[in-house]
Amino acid sequence: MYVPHTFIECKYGPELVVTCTFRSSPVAGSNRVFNTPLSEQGIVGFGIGLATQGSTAIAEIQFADYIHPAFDQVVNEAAKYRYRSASHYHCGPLTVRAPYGAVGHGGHYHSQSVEGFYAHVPGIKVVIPRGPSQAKGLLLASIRDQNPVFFFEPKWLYQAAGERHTQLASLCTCMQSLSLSAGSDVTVLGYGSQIQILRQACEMAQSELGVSCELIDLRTILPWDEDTVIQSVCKTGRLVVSHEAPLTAGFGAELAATVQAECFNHLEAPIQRVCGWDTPFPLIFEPFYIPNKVRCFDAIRTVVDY
Amino acid sequence: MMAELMGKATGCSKGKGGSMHMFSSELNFMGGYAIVGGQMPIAAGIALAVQYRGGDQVALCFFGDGAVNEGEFHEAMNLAAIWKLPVIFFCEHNLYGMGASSQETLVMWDSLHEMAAAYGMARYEVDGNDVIAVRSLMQKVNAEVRAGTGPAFIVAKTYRLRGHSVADPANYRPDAEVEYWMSRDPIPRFRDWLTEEGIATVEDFEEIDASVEEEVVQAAEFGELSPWPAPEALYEGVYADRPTEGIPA
Repeated sequence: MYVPHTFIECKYGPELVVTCTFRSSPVAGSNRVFNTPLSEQGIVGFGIGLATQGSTAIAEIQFADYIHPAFDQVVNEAAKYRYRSASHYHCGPLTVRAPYGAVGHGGHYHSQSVEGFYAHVPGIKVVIPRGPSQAKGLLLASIRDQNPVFFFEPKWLYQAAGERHTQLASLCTCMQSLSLSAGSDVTVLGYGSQIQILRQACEMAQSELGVSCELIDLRTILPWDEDTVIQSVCKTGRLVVSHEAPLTAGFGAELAATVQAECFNHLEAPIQRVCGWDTPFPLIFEPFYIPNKVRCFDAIRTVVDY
Repeated sequence: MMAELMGKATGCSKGKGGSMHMFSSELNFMGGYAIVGGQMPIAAGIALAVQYRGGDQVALCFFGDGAVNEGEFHEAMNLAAIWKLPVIFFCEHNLYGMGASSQETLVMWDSLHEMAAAYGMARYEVDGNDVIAVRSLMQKVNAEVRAGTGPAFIVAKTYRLRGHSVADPANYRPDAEVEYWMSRDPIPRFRDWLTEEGIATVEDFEEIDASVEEEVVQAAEFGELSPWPAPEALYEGVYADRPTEGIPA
């Protein structure tokens, strides 16, 4: 599928040139909102250059699957700009947005979760919202953040019904994790679209097993909110982590390793990771691949029955 | 600079950048780049920032002929051309990309500036070892780009007199070739021209040499006597809002 990337700039504040993705009606000012050629590496590098001059730039990559040609710019330029220049220059005003994750029919190249690759890069931030309200608040926070932020949006949710804004506080600038339900038996940890799945698994656990789950939405993958998670697992003694990305060396491995180091004496069971299988994201096998609510429920039951 | 080369805390990048990453905000110097080609789309982005604000600066992006083979070169050229960005892509064509001769690796090596034709871009070739010729060309092209004609590609033909790095004895080059280019070394050539034209005398050069040597010696002493960065500096500058994490246990 040949789709041009959209690199839109819109100015809404003094000395601010903000680039944001736009899918529907045109925004005034074609010098602020424009399409780019298919040049991911060029787009990200271009955004870095803009940002070094103090312009707030938001680049959109059409699918997170396509961000890898820009990997060098992310790892070797964006992440190190401030560090290697001792803050003479930096690209803090850069935000890169990309839809990620399964969508039901995406197959190998329109479904990938890439946060694991980018979580391994000190110097950038990685933020993943779980729904529309969170996306709005976290995106604004990411734009304002003075570090380059990679913002991965669950594309499956673009097609879901809209979410009612339950609180204006969703426009918070806090990128820390958020406990969605207080619980005492097991900590359930995830981010992005997986939160919807985990919520259902927790409800099943409550109704069928009488298990009280503490569900935490990590929100920011890098740097991640260790304190909240450690505090929770020291209380519950059990942890289930879940993400769509493949199991091996997925971000869940970082979460599990840190929690076992910090909560060792409190753990009642081995940490469970419920993830995509270690295969390329499949086409026809997608329903078997993704960590659905039944697999997540099984993991909760495993740690509780251990 | 000297302190930075030595990795000292008084260096221009506080010892964190080294030889490849020196910056100066006073001089609008956006620094060196270790990843060949990495700077090119960045230069295009900088040029857009200038253009967007209605400034009259020009982004000047330096690279070698080896970089022309990187995908980013082509992406940056195209981006600059379609948006008519005020950027000059300046290629120091020294016939070698690390250990490989460009004759073997770059199909357009002999008429490199013509590659810009693929992007509809203004393009120039110049004797990179002729100080006056380069200066004249830059004045002309600078004025054009500043006036909004769009980006330009300049190929300055020169030679790399030594190896790629201190670790490279450059045994892959014929002696005759090296000797030929040594005889075209731009600095003695320029000195001779200035002397012949009566613009400067031998004594003037001796004076300049002496004072520069003194400056360098003092800079080296400054670097030697400067302190090393503190261990906490390891974590400084990773993020804007976490200036230092301290040393982990």
